[in-house]
Amino acid sequence: MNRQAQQDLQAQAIAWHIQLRGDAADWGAFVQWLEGDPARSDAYDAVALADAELEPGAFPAPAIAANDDLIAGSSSRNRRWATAFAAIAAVFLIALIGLPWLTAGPDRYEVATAAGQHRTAPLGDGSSVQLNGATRLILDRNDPRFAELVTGEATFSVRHDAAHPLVVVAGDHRVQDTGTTFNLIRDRGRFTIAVIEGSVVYDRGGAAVPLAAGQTLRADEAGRPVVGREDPQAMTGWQRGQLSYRAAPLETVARDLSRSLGVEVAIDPELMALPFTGSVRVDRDAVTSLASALGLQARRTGDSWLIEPRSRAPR
Amino acid sequence: MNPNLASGGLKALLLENRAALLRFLVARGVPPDEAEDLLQDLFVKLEGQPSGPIAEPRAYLYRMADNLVLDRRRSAGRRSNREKAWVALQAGSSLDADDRPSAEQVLIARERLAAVSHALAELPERTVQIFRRFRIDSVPQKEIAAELGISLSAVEKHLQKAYQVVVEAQLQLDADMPPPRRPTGKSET
Repeated sequence: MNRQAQQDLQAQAIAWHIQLRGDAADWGAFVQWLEGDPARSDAYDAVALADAELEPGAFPAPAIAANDDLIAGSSSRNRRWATAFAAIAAVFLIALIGLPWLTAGPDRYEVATAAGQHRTAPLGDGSSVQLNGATRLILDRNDPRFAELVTGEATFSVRHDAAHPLVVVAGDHRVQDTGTTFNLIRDRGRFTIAVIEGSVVYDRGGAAVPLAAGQTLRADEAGRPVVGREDPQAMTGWQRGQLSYRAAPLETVARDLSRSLGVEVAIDPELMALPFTGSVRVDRDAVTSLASALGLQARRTGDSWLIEPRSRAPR
Repeated sequence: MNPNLASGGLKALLLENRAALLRFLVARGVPPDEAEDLLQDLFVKLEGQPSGPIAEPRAYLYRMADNLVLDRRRSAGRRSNREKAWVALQAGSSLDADDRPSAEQVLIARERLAAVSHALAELPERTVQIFRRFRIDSVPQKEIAAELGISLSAVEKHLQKAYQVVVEAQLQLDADMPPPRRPTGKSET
């Protein structure tokens, strides 16, 4: 495809994207357009994905836009300031706003934390939710009994109301609760419920599993849910900076640490399944002490940690 | 609560429009067997939906289906990048293997944000203002036109220009840094 044809295609894809976001969306006509050429779907992907990545922080702030120098300034100094401003704005916006349109529905909004950050959000009916780091949650202004855990970890403290159970969805996992405290983790394919007080009903594709205080449920992407037991105190250890495990794969520990520390903790692929039992204190020495407790070494690579076998030195 | 719009109503509507939605998914490049799975996912998703009022339930289903496609494309791109990221990590550079904000991702996101921010800053102020109303404040085009006393097609032109800049900036970034972008499971026939 030549450059002009590509630009035309992109312009069409943009026009469709704009139309589909509005009230007068004609999806039938869109399907017909797509069917005209397979390249059209790709062009539309590029537009829709670019739009999805667009954050409010990317927009020049109106008050500052008046000072063209600051935003569009050509000196590297000004550019640094603009970048710094955008970065700071991004951090705040990640924490405060999020992307409204991917959340389907006008009253949905996102509450999110950056890695290493904790936050408590009210659910509007006297209930509340505590977010661990690197967590995204979608809430509904019109429905305080709905929440979606997009990714991360959160503890829900739910006011009792048997007539209106709180429903938390996480992919195809569904947790229903009438008044209790429970902790959820959704991280890649891993989904874990830990019930601290009261009881919940877990549901996936119609198979309901009731869970009482002290019980945990772990479900993999494909596998069946496995019910277990855990000390309720340990379930919300992340809130006190204390993570406890019993025969947990090292990869799981690393993911939890990444979330809590705000630093990527990677594991040598050979070691990912290594079982770990014990507690980890979330502090600056967490990664090195974890590694040395296992007879491994932790190495800093740029901004992240890598846990690997000790004898990695050239032989 | 409007009973017509309860999630049960949406599910019934989904079943009613199953064939049309499948056709849409296939037109979006999803292989037919995966399209079935995706509709199943959508059906399950509706279970968790609150029964709030939805103005255009049919359009809502299409939008949700489209969002699922986009989510898959994004995470598929990330999965295929994970090995590359591992190599990059071994070499001591940063990685983008994940779907949650790690420290590296925050840095990369910052860089991407700065690039898009620069691109937007190059646009006329009016264009940015219209784009902001549309994209951030979710004001319909018609209302934006009324607010500014310009025609609907003028609003459309501003939006077209703004999106062009945003898409180009992202494509440029992706060309510089292997992106979480390439769709998988596309029928290349």
